[in-house]
Amino acid sequence: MSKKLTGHPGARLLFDIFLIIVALVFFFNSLDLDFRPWLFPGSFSIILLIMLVIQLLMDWRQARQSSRSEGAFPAEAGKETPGEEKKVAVEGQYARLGVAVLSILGFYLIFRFVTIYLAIPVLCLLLVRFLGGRSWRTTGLMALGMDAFVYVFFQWLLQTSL
Amino acid sequence: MLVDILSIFDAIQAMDYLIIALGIVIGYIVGFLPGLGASQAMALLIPLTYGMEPLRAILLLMAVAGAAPCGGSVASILINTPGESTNVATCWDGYPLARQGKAGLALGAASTASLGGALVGLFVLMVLLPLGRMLVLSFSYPELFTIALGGLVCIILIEEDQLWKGFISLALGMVMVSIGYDPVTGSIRHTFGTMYLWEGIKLVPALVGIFAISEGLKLVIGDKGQAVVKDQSVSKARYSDVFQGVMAVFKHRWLFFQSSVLGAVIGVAPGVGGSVGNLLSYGVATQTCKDNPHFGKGDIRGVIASESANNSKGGDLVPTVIFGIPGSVTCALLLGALLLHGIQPGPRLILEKPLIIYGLIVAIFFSSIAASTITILAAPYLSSIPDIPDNLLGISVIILGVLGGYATELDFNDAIVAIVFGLLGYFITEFHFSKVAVVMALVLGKIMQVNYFLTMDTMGPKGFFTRPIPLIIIALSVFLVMKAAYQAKYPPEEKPSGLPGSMA
Repeated sequence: MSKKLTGHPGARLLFDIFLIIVALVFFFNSLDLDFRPWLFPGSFSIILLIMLVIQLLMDWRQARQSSRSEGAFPAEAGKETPGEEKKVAVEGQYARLGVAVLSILGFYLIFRFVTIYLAIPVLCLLLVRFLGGRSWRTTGLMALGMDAFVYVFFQWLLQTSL
Repeated sequence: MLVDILSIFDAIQAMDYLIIALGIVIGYIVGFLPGLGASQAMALLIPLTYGMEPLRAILLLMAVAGAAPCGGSVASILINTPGESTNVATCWDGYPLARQGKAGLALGAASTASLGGALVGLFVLMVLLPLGRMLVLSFSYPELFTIALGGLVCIILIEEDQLWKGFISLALGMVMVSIGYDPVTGSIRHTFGTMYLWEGIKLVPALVGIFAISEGLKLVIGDKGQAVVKDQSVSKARYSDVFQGVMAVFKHRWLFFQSSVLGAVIGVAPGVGGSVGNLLSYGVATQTCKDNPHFGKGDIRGVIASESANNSKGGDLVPTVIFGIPGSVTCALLLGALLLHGIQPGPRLILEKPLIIYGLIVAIFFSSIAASTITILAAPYLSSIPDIPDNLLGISVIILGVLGGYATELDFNDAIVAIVFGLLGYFITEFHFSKVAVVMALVLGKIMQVNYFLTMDTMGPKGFFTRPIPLIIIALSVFLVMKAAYQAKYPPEEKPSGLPGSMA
């Protein structure tokens, strides 16, 4: 079984819980089926559920151990260690991920209800200018370049309705 | 066999050659881009091939797949950033060589070894294809079920230290593949009242999301593992150095032969492909070559070993073409493309659509030659290509990914699937689950379901245990899983070797 600590412990636990909810939804949904169509989703959702609960317990134990080991060295708390730098970077990473995902959802909504040619500049503004910290010039060039590429490649060459 | 393959030239037209050339250019450029490779390029291109003739689409995709590893090796050598996992081992000796002012030597050797490896892989495929025809005719439901099962087991065993999470990923994929109508009974399962899900999760948007959009997200939010750090001390390559690199492959011909055969043989195992081939071949080279302490510090033999093995697409294509079981991620995408064009992958593909298979071979042949030639000719210029900012690269991938998901069937729900799978792919990678296992379950799950029920209906449970091939595969799968589980619990003592501990 995996002993490797990856990602932020809290985020790892949340992801485990999310997958458990998914497995539970699939399991309860499969109870409405007759035995034969049940067999594939039903049996695999039970297996998935059991494995995920074990994974959650392992991750929870590892998270507790890591929080205890942090508490065991209070004198080090004020110092900037490489480990602490990494933790801050990871937390920043999730905040940036949140911004990126919201931006992509905004991009999708504008694409769906307005037009792709507005959605691209808005996404560039959010991800290139604000998240990436690049200049207005780079942001503008990126937005114009992508708009032009999408028009030429998708709408003109492939005759895709956008 | 060769005559059969040559018959493809009667079927392809001038436009097809242009398509192959376009695929080579796209594959080479995408292969060079950090974090991106053949799988992402194919994932983005598959929806765009929707309106093409099936053969033309396959030529384009395979040209991309054939050229991308060569582009990836250039990025590995010059900026220490593998285009994708198939080029990881190339970094270990290629980049130190570049730092020593021998970028030309490394590029010459890498391109020649990559081309040679591709040709050896195609030779293996051509040798096994006629045997495959005989094999497939004798195959029935239990064999197909157990081969798919064995393929999934191989995939999980790739990352031995993450065996448990590999199983979780597999189960997650199997649960997801059960969305939609039951292929045998026709019952509707897990659609949550949405008609869109009646056909199940569509493979193309899911692949675009899990490979391309998740990588785009990583690049956009600035994951440090993907950062491009170009060292200004990398010297410009000269043609004389490149020629020395080409000759180095001939000088170390036995190492080249050993590595390329190893790459092709590993590729035959379903779901393994070049990503494992280059690592294993490098490991074997460190153990079999004399003066192995030089490995990891700029030994040209390390570059040759890695590059000879990672482009053996022919090996990967053996299970893909003969059994319809993907030999690698790019082959899984190829199967997705075939399904998109209404071609059912599987044992009968070779009998019903031989031109498609010959097209694969020809496209890889041309693209490997062209990509290696480009590297050799452009080596002095390639070494001064500026790095592309991660942020800009990532946003381009996300936009093209969402559009690619939508453009398949002009359905906005497909774009949502691509975004959701992109996010899922990001977290799967972040928490060291297995993206490949999820994808392989999505590809192989339906084959397993259908053949499981057909076996139970026609032969009963004994069908799995009274026929030799299913019995051998089941026994081997159980043995391999038990062995991996034992090794995970009681890891063998580490032996000192010349393998470098990290890429940097």
